[in-house]
Amino acid sequence: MNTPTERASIWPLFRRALRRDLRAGSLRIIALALTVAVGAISAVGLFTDRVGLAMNQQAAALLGGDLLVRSAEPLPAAMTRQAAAIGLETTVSLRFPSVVLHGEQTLLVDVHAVGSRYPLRGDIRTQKAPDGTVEVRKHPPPAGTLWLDRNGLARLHLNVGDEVQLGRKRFRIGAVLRDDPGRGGGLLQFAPQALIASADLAGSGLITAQSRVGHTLYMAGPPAAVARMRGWLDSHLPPGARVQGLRDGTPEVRAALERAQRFLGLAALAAVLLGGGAIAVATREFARREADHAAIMRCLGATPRLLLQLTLLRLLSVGVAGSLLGLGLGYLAQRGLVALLAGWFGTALPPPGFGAALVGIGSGLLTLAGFGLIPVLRIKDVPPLRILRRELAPPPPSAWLTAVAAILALGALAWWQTGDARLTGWVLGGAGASVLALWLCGYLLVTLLTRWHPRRGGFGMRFGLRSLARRREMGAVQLAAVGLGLTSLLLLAFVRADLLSSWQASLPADAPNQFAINIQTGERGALNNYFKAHDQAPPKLYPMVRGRLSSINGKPVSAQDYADPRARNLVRREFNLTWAESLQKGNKVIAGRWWNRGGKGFSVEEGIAKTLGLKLGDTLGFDVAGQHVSARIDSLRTVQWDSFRPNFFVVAHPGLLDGLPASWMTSFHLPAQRDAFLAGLVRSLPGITLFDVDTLLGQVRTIIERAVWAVQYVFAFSLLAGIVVLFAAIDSTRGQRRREAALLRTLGASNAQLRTTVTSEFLLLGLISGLLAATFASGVGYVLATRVFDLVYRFDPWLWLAGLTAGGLGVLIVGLLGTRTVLRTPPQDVLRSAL
Amino acid sequence: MVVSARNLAKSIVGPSGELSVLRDVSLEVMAGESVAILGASGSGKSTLLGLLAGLDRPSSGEISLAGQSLSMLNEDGRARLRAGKVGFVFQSFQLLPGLTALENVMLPLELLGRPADEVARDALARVGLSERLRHYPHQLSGGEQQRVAIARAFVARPAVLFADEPTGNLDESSGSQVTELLFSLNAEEGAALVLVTHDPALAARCNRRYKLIGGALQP
Repeated sequence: MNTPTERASIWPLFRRALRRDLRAGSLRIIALALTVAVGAISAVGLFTDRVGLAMNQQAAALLGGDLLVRSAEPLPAAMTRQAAAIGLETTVSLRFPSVVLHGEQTLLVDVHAVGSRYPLRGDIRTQKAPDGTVEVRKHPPPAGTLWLDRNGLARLHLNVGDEVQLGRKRFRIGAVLRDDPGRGGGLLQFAPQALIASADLAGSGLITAQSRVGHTLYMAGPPAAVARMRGWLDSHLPPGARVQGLRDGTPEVRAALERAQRFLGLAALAAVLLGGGAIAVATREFARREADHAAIMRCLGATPRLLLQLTLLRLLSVGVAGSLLGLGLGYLAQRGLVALLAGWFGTALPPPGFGAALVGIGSGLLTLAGFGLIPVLRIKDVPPLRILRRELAPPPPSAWLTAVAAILALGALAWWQTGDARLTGWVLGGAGASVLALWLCGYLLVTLLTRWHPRRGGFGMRFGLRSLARRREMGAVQLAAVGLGLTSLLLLAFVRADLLSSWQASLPADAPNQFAINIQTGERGALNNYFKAHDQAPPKLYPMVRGRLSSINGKPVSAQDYADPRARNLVRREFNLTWAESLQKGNKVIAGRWWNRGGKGFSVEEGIAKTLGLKLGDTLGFDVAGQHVSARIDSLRTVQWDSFRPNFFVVAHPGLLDGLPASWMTSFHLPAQRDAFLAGLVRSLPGITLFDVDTLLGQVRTIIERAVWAVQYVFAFSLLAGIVVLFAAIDSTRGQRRREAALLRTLGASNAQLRTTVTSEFLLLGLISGLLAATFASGVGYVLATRVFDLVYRFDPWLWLAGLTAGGLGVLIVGLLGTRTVLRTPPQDVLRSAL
Repeated sequence: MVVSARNLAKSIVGPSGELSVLRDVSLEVMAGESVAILGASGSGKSTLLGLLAGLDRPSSGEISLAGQSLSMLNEDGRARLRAGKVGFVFQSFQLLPGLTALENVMLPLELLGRPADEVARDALARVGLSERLRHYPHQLSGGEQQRVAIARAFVARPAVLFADEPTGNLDESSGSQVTELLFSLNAEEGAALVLVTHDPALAARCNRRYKLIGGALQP
């Protein structure tokens, strides 16, 4: 039979309880923690959702056709004939890097030379001036005209109407290129883009047999014809070529986005972990404070079930409210992310979808359930006898059960963010180990402080020290939380800069900063003469023969033989083979022998040998422009890749590659402000392609800086969450602190003495967090530098100073804010039993 | 004169308007004298004690403590006066749970910036707790906790000791032990004792007794 309370509606009780919660602010820490955690997850979720939506919207128009075949080799004419026979429209484009010349300035651009019917789908968008209205064009530029994007125009200080040189030809800049559907790179654009008509290639000297050219066949027509063509391509696709349809989108960008999403998502998880910690502390305190209320309710006839329902409803309300607030915060924060990474996107991003918002709220409720449910479930177990005997409390929540629920929730969120069970395991293990290590170190440091009884220093300092020691369990939780947030920020702020500068410092001042490729055999003399004429030592030239790995030990090789994506990629692409008499500088034979000891075959770089499963003595076969070359692996080498000298995976014995089409490459150091030298070089050798490594390095650095800013931005949430943990911990000791403050006042403590006790306690706590964070950040930085990047790590004293300052001041300010009402407790309260 | 109160009144504002707790209370306590204030629950005993000790301000009237007018002092000034001249013993002991018995007794001396360790050990020895220096409050019985509180109250040699139902939470045996200690130390130190209680036997030990009825003090 139901008791009267079970028959009664729960809603009036719920409304009253909620009003009481709002008045007393008992659930505000939980709401705050959820706001921060959901804010972090939503910011990342909404941002990546917007980028994803933009990609889908652009997919159709982006391709410039319904079906594309891309290849590094010219596509067979049979393919175009077959497409036409099926009833598809076709056009072919070429894409290659080249150098635009304007006066003495040079700029490496990505040239897209397109046929007259291009684009078959979508439009080309241009402007008359960078700030002019966008015009939609259905055809490529007329002969002798080049459309260059804003980036390129700005870097060469050009205007529409100016003339530039590309190869041997002069082009007039006809318009600002805003959008080229066949750009391929899609959403991410780094090198300036130039569009010309493929008819202009004739006589330009831009394309030579050895140029790195991407060939694309665009096809468009009825879906049935497209499907038939796809079927035909399944059996006729040349090696190295790949098919791209609407559903294939832009896989590189998708993969990059997924990686970014994973990384930012994992960064957001740090905030969830700490937010969860705050929720665990706050719900435990909530359950403790509710015990008296629950005992009275039980005495008045409330069943445990009713208490449970009431508690869950209150928790759900705060969960929804906190998650909605978090969603709002996340929405604002993702706008910050978009602003930070603005330069990466060629187009404006569409607004985010509802799905991402729902996911944000779902994550909030999952976090709340995982970290907060177990402690509050105990409210129903409060014995009614507590009303007479206050010491009768519900059994404390099982630490194991709480931990398991939290790990499950975090695991579910990590799995959702990464979609990878192994990575999820690593994340959980790493997060758990970091928190545990920080907690342990914090606990040990606080325990050591307990043993320190300073004779000097005023009462405030000594009492503050004792306060920290007395609350050392909670102190260690605060240390771990703030320490984790600070560690991630310090790591990104300092170690990134340290690693970049260590890497730059590891390069000699005269390290090559220019690469030149596509030098034809007949042009070597001209190149040497040009250098000599300009008082420069001619650089060492390296031959380059492009060949595809076709067999290993006589067995044909295909990408399908490998599970490792990198190995698959290597097999699909062409290798740059070279030959050399002597071992290059920075190379070291680690197995087998170099030629002068009798070898006659290939020397293979150790890393690639490992990836492809190659051993000393294996016979490699390469297809070079239809000819087959094979030889044994005579040696394995290590290569110093960051030497900025031409380096090769596979080096052949001189003579092995004789008679095969070869071009030459080199690298050299050019002092700054030598634009005229490069311009002259391009004029004498129009087919040459120059890469300015300084500029590339600058671009890479900008990308890294921006990306790190984005991650740091997301990690800032973890610091916020760490602060919420601090608040939660202060809140859970509020009663104790008020009692102490009132008693100390009664015993004659002045305001200043009370303030000094609190200041000392939080300053110490903050300094220890800062110290731990700086130590952990340096440790991780050291491991990254020495084990991952192979650099000499320089310990930066500023990191420690920043850690101590940020930790000390940050925790002090939060601590003083959190305890400001405590210090105002009137001493008369000590006479009341309320305290 | 150690404590002097003239025409004290205290009223508080509650949900049903202003409520008068104390009306026209005057009291004088000399050094070495003991005074008991008796009254039923809610009669305003603790409120009066708080006013006399400078823990709260009266709505009207004048209080002077150890020759200092409290109305002239702000909270910090009153705190300094309490630190040097006033000791407290509470019904619920009010020891800090995270501090040992010794550390609790050292507190008043540390607040004054005086050497604390030796003096606090002596004080605990005087209440018979030399063996309990390193014990935390939860490791002590109620009687022992109250003896620690008495040691803390006397350690800074106060001019006046305020005791709020000092035996209220103790059994009979512990209660009488604490009472003996309170009065013998009071006699030894020559401090004034102001005691709030509803226990007539305890009140009988004092030199003077007053009853608080309807907010007014009656002999």
